[in-house]
Amino acid sequence: MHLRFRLILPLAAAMTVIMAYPLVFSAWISFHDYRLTRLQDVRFRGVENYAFILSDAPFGRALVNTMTFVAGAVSIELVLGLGLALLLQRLVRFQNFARAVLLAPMFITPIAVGLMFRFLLNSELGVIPYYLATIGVEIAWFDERLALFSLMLIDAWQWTPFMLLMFLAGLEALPKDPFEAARVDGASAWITFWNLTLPLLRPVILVALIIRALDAFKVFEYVWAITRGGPGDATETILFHIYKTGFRFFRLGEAAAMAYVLIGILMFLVIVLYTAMRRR
Amino acid sequence: MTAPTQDGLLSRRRLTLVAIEFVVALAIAIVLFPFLWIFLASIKPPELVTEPNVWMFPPTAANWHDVLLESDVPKNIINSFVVSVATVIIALVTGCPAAYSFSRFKTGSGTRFSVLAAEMMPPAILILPLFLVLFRLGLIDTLAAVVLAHLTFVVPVVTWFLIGFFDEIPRELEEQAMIDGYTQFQAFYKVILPVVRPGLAAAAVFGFVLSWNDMFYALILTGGESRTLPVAIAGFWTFRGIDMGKMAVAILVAVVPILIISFFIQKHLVRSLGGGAVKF
Amino acid sequence: MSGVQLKNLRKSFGLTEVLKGINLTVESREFTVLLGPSGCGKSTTLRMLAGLEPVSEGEIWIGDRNVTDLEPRDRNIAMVFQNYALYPNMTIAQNMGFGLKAKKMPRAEISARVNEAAAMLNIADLLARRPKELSGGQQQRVAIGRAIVREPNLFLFDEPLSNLDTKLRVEMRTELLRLHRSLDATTIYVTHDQEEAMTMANRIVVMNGGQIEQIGTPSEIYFKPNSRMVAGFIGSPAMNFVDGRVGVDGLETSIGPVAHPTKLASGDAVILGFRPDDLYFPDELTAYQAAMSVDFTAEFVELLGARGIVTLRAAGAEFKGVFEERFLHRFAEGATVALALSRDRLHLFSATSGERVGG
Repeated sequence: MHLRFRLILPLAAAMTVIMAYPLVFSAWISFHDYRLTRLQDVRFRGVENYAFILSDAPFGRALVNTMTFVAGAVSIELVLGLGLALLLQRLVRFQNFARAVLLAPMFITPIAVGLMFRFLLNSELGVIPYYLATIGVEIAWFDERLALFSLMLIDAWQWTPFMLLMFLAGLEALPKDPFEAARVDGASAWITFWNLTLPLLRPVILVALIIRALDAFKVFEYVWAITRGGPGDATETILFHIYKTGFRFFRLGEAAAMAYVLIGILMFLVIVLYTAMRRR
Repeated sequence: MTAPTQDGLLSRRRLTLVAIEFVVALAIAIVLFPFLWIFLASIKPPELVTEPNVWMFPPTAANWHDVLLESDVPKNIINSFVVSVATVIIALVTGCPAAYSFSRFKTGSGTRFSVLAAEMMPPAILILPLFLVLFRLGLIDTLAAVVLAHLTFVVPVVTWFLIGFFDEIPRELEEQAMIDGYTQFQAFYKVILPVVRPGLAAAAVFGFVLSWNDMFYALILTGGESRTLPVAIAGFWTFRGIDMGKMAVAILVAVVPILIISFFIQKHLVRSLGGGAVKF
Repeated sequence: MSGVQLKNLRKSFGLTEVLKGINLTVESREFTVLLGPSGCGKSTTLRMLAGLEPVSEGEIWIGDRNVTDLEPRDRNIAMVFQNYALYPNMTIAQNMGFGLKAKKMPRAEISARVNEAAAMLNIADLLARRPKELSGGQQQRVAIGRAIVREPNLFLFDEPLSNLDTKLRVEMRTELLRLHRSLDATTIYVTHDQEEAMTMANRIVVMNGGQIEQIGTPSEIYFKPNSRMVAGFIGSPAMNFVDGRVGVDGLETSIGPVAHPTKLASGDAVILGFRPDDLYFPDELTAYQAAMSVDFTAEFVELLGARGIVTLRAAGAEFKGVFEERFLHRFAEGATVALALSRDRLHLFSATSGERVGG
């Protein structure tokens, strides 16, 4: 066998065991009435699982919640990340220090982030609501209206650094000449940003958006740490919902079908994002 | 219209810089404050930990003592460490040769993209079959189970990173080695691997961090003996009750080592993203 | 040392054929330069010789061995790359000895050979350093040294000087020649720089579009180019060309009739070529030598130092001439200057095939 394929063999074997097989098994499960509580009595259900979840209100709610969360969180992160990257680039002193600190949150375990903010934002114990109250701002961060938004902010705290990292790398890789030419031509910083920086960064923005959006769809730890889907179902996200269906209610068939619906949505999103950004 | 004086220009530039520094300092404060507060919580006497407005207090080491010497946390740390190291080793062994092959034999952007796609696979779809298989094999609540699950996202990430690092190495290097009398495989491990060592280290550290930080898989696959640190942290704040001070210690134990090693790979992350991930 | 033979060598990448049948014999100890514009297939030929690129069709012989399907390591060759390809993690001594280590040579002998080569190249004091501490020129020497210690059957050079600045390039050129003399090694050298080719080669192989245009000594290539392509590619400034037609007793060209006998049939379309150096003032040539005289209008003079390039115009076309500095005052802008072409310095090419048909 050619070296090229021999070198890929270990990876191919590993991926078959940990990816391909589970994917196929998962697909099989999604067409069955497969319950952890009734493992010896698995029945073929055809597409019934899919039919059921597509008309299932809680699943729909979880989808809407997740998409709202992803859109909100990723937009905040994109804007903040790009802004901070541009500022960091112009920083004269402490540039390395600032970068090191600002990138830090993305490296720590999300469950810790969730618990930290649960503590910081708690309306009785939390230091942030306490000081906001002293200046007359009373916010209940985890009530029905605000809980999802608060989770977005927490996500932004942890993951804006990822955007920052991508954009720092992207800015570093940009050619210098066009910017020098623009300065010689007397273009203002604003014009340079809109006509040069942004278009040149577009591929990086696209990649960062896709990676981050797909990752944000997996949001679980903050929900687990803080709200457990509540109040009501205000923060029930898709992964949390699947977790509950599969491992609380043991209905694996439905959970697998949900996961496949999720993959479908993700693929659709990636294709839309990709073509939309490519076309312009 | 009068031309701005030299002084005016200078001071405006200076003003912009001060404004930038202010914004960056604010961002740094927002990043650091939660850590500071959690640290204070970890050394606060138990009766003060729930008071949001306490900055001065007699510090106590009781929480640190209890968590590090009289709880399961040390065992959780060892579990997490074993899982992460094993995961990274397997990921390097399988991913490294494959990444070299993808980089050198121009297997096409299709394969590269599929590596990225594998990383983006929602955990929801993999966890169900993995759980069932591990359950049948009697591996639930073992570290091996967690390692297997972590491979699903660490292997693709490590491979993706390494492709970028291999791409940066000029082809002539192994061609020279092949002319010098070595086979291509010898050229790979005698010449290319030593050259790419910093990249290997960065990829390994990044993979370690990802595995160390995961809670979702570990939560489902471990219960008692094999609980990893993130799962243990989550256990400090349940519906049964909280122990703020101890939780703060556990969070810091999980987070601080990761922050320290993250500083060492940041530079590589920026570089590898600039070189590989940013342009696919 | 052994010679090299390429027999009807072909290479295709997918559907595009980049080498369309190369036949070439390189004698033992010869310094052969493959020269041509980028994309002509010269580097591909070299890489196939090295075994880095599989052969689509044809055979490669080194000495009396058919190496067509051998791995690079089994061909006993050495190659110097354009970017030097030094192993960054090894010292200079390790770099140079790496190939000998592959042959399982005893350590003492490796270091003896490395020291010898290093002394020859004046890099003995660099042996303990690492590549990135060296300048471009020093890295170049190391790359050459690494090739020398292997004592290969064949040296391959892939544009080795093109990353150096002009001054260093000229120095290294001389040094490579001296080295070639003392090693007496069969060498195949790829470049797109005609000056390098002219100064270094025993024989030049001019390639174009995946084919060999001409094989010859530097003076053959320069004075008797086989085709319009070679004529235009070699020489700076480039050769002047004029379209023409074979008449009854000579050529009819757009700049006037040329007294020049050819074997071609009357009426055939031809291209007349003459080098910028081959324009003479009428009094420099005898009546017999002069093939024609043309009134040119001078446009610019670019002074190079002892000589200058003059841009001339005649019959609406642009021509270049090279003259000594003392004559340049005659070419004031707009001045009309009569210049003659020498009979023995004309090149005639078929307008249809581009082949040399006389001159």
